[in-house]
Amino acid sequence: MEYFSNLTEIFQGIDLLLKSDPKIVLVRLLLIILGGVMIYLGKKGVLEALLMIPMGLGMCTINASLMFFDPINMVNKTPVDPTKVGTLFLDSTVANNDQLMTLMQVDWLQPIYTLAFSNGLIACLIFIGIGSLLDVGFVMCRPYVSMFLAVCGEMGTLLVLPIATLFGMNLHEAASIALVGGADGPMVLFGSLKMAPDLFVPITIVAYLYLGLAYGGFPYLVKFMIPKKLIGIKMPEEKKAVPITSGQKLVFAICACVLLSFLFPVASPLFFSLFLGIAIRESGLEKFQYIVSELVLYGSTLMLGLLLGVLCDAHTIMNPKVLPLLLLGILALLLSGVGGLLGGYIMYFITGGKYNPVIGIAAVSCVPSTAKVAQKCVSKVNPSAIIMPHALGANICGVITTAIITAIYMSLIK
Amino acid sequence: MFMSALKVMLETLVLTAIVSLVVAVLIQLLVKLIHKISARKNPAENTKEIEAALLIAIAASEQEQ
Repeated sequence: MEYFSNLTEIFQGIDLLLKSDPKIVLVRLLLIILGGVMIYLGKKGVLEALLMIPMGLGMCTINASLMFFDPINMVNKTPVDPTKVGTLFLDSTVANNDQLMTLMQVDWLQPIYTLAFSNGLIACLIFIGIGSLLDVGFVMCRPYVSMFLAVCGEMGTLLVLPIATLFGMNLHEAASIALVGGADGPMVLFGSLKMAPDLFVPITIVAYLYLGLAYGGFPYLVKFMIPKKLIGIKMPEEKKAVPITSGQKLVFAICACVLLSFLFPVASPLFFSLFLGIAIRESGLEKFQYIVSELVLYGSTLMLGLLLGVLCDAHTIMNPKVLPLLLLGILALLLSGVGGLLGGYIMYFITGGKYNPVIGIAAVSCVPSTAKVAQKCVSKVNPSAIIMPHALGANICGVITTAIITAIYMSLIK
Repeated sequence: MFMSALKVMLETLVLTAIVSLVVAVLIQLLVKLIHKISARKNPAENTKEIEAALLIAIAASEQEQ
């Protein structure tokens, strides 16, 4: 018996497993399996590998590495609570500054979570990286059509707000989950942090989980809503347009950044980050361009995936509010996809059947995944049809409209 | 709660449509303005285009005669 108790002291995971509620054990097991599935689907290219692999591994590990652990009392040399469960990764629930300072010295991911994730910095860093990859020339060639499609592609972001209140959520929580329809991870992170800080961890997890799924799921929505004959429509050659120079794109970035920040100061960090990336790209600052488009973007994505995975522990997922969030998140994304495709159909009828309605799916602003999805669907039916420039225009406008809606929600809902 | 959410949704829709239109108009204006400025800055290219158009017009009228 003594030998057995020594063993459980050595293998603390087994000790916790034996003393835990069977429900928690089951959820932990399911989450470990889900993490493995996410890694598999990421590796296969069905889901976004950049996010799914660190997130999946984080999810597996955090649910395996729980133990009886009370770091604050241990460090402060006060009586330790022997039933307290924790890990050496991070604690997202800590509110007291003294406790936070203690945890920063114990949990290895706590400094990154506190100083980069929970204040929205990581969202802004990703936005700088995304901005540095965007060519606003696609928007400048056809601003009205791109903006129209982008507004249609926000159907889920708008409709889910009242629907979420029927699930007993208040306006802040409803607006935060509705933002998933914008399909912009950093925007959901930023918006939910400002509007519903209590739910920002589960909402952000739900958002990124679904953004990964959108890449694999949207082609089915396209197939379901658009007949094959229309998917293969070739876009007509445009009249020889005057080329847009990088100087012109830079002027646009400055004017749009100043105008949008002036109109919506609450979202100005996001606008600034996005247009800073564009300005770096168009100014020809190659060294900065390399730093933001490679190191900052991919470094932040890695950290984000890791933190999201680590935040997916059984206790967070078993929050009773998570199930409605899961339902509303997928509904928001689905409605936005439907809205984008309906916008595509409207353009198809306005142009007398010359516009490919699949471009509408790119208005759901997950840059550049949905634009790639649109081109992939079209290429399968008609390999000579190129819609990428149009899709990227709608895609980039989608980022701008999602930022506008985030700002409006934050301003209107006090 | 549902009614106030509906109100916020409609307000957001109207505001988003207006701001998106403003941004689209701004883009269009900027592109036009910058093209005008660059045309003034490169009068040589502009003159060449006009010369070429004149030559084509002269050739066409000569053919008609």
